[in-house]
Amino acid sequence: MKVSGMTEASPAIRLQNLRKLYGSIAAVDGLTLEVPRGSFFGFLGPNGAGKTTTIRMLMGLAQPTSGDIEILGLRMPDDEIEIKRRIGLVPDESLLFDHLTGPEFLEFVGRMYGLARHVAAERSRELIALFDLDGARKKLIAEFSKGMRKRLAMAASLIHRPELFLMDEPFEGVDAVGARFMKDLLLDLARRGATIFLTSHVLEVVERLCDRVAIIHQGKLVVEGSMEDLRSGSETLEDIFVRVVGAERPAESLGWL
Amino acid sequence: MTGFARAVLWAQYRMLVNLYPRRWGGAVLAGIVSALWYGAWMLAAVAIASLVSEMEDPDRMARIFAGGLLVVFLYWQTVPLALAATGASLDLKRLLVYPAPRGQLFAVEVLLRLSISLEMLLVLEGAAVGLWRNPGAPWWAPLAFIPFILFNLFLSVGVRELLARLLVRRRIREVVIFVIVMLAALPQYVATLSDPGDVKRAASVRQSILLPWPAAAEWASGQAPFVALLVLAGWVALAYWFGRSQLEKGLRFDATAALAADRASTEAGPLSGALFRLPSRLLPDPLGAMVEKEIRFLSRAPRFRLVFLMGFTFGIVIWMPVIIGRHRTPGFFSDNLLTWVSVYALLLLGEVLIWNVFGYDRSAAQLYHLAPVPFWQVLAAKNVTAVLFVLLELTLVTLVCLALRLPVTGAKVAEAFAVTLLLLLYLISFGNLSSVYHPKGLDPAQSWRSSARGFQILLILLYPVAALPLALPFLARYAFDSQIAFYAVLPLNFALGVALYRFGLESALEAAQQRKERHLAALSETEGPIAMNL
Repeated sequence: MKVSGMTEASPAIRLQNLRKLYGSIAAVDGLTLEVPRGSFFGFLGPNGAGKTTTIRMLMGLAQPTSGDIEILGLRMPDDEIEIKRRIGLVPDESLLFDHLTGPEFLEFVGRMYGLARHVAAERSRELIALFDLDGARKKLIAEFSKGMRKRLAMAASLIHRPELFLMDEPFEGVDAVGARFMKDLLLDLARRGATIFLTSHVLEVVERLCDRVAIIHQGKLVVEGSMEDLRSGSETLEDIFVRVVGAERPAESLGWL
Repeated sequence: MTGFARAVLWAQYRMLVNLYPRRWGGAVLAGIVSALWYGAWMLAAVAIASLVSEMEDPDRMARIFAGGLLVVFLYWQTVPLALAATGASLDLKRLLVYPAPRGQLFAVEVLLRLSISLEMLLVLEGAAVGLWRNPGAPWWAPLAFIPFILFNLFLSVGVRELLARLLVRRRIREVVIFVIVMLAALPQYVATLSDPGDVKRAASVRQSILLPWPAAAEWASGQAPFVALLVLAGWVALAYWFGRSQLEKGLRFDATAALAADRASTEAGPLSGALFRLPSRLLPDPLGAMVEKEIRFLSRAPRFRLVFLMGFTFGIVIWMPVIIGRHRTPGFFSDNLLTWVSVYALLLLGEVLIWNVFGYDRSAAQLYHLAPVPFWQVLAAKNVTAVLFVLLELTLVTLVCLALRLPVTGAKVAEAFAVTLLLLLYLISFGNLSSVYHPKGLDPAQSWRSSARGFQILLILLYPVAALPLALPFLARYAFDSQIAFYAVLPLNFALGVALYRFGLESALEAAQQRKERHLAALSETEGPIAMNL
């Protein structure tokens, strides 16, 4: 399908002066950012910096107060439906349905993305096996552990073969084996041209996976660049992060501790 | 049906199938009650069909249809709101991430609106069958109900979406609810306060064909079909535009941003801050801390604020016709008005304060199981909170009654407090058990959410049993014609209540220990793509 304004040369995500106000508080404050196609992009920031709000706006779950969002060359919200068809989501909050089994949920998601029923069912079976959820095939999602829920959410994000992945803390609660598998899968997807935009508090993971990084603090972009450029000095990503968000909390301030 | 609609309905069906073996008891009970309820409406539909099939005079038929369709319209649009049960609807928060075209979302939402209007559909079906069997009615007469049904469906989508957005905002929510309950009580007041002749005369006036129900009535009675068709087409188009535009606004609505606009008002003022801290001053920790937390939480939970407000407004409004208007007669109800209103307020508060005390603050339930606090103290804190809120509610009920110059004496106030608090003691004895055995995680921000229908049916059966001992003091007063007899029996009631409470608490503690995992799992469960709020 050809959609007006869509070009292959456009970045995967382009945010122009994006702003989101909650009352008088700016959760995102004039964010301008470009995520190149095919990049593995780490979007970092301390708690409450505006990461999840930004992702919610990218997903179309929250309306920006002002500013422009362009995803895969399409404008949000004008081309919202087409954008949603082409992105895979691993949201922070659970969008799983507790009283479905894993395969049922994946089949549901596939059908929501317009796959034929038999195709959705077939891919559902394959994804369940790939994500090592075979043993829990007949379990309700309500009985899943946190790590299993995350794995299922990631499986759901793949079922329609999206070009861009938006992932909010995708490895949270996942065990080491599962996390390793998910990381390898994402690296493979990135190598094959998919764009991955993820948030994570585990800076070592970001450092290992991402080729570009942006750090926001109090809704504003404070650092953006390639991982190579950022690591050109002696600082680690953690050093850079702590320096730019200015988080020094001396433990001795609590005398009783 | 579109692929999107099929996928949503399939997921909902699978969820019901998955749940069935676990909740078969509730499903059977709900099935029996639903069969009785809809069976009664089916009988009404058959009666209507029989009456309509024998009608001859088109003018009379038009007048009767216009009145009947007005009742259908009011029932369809207001009863779900007054019952705080808005039927099944799409859980848009979970479905918005998928590429579903807005038109399909609207179509599915319209279909789901049928879930709150099955009664009215049965009634209209009865009327349509009656017209079809009526030899004097033209073949196209029953078709009049199709645009009327569409009009109601589109309108109810719009009304629901509009209210859902309004009810997110503090203060606006309270005003909206107040207006709704007052409107719901209006017909009762009109019937009570007006002369029967006036009502009859008003009913016999031929209403303007420009309104949707007289237009449908004119069409159904075989008169002015073209004018009625034009009028109804206009109303259907208007309702479609309203429903569609309200759904669009609902999809773009950011509840977090709306709440943030009045977040500053969440901060407790000096007076409310002191009131919140009062239990900590009177009770030792951790009991005091838990009671304070419960008071702070509930006073900020929209669902609780709604039922609390309804207790001393709607409760009084619906009982007032007992003592005012043409039907006022001295008797059991009018003599004990304050007690009835107080007990009614208690029943409204019951779901939050008594029957599902862990359902609204689910994360706190986990903490209570983890904290080094004996679980009896947790239940006791919940019960003390219930007593405090009920006392506050009763005080407000009394003050409103006094402000309205209703017949309230010191003796009546004491009686209302005594009876209501005793009933509360009985109810929380059962409530502690139900909160442990049947917890259901609910969103405290949802003004309209309520517990499962099956459990509500169980409550209907339980209330009379729990209230049975309270008949004793009233019987004693009636038998001995003495107020002393009434108060003499109360200590006996109290002792019985204390024994029941202790027994209930011990059983609940045992169950809480054995069912800890199931308890927490039940509280963490979420719903499917369709929010069932029946």
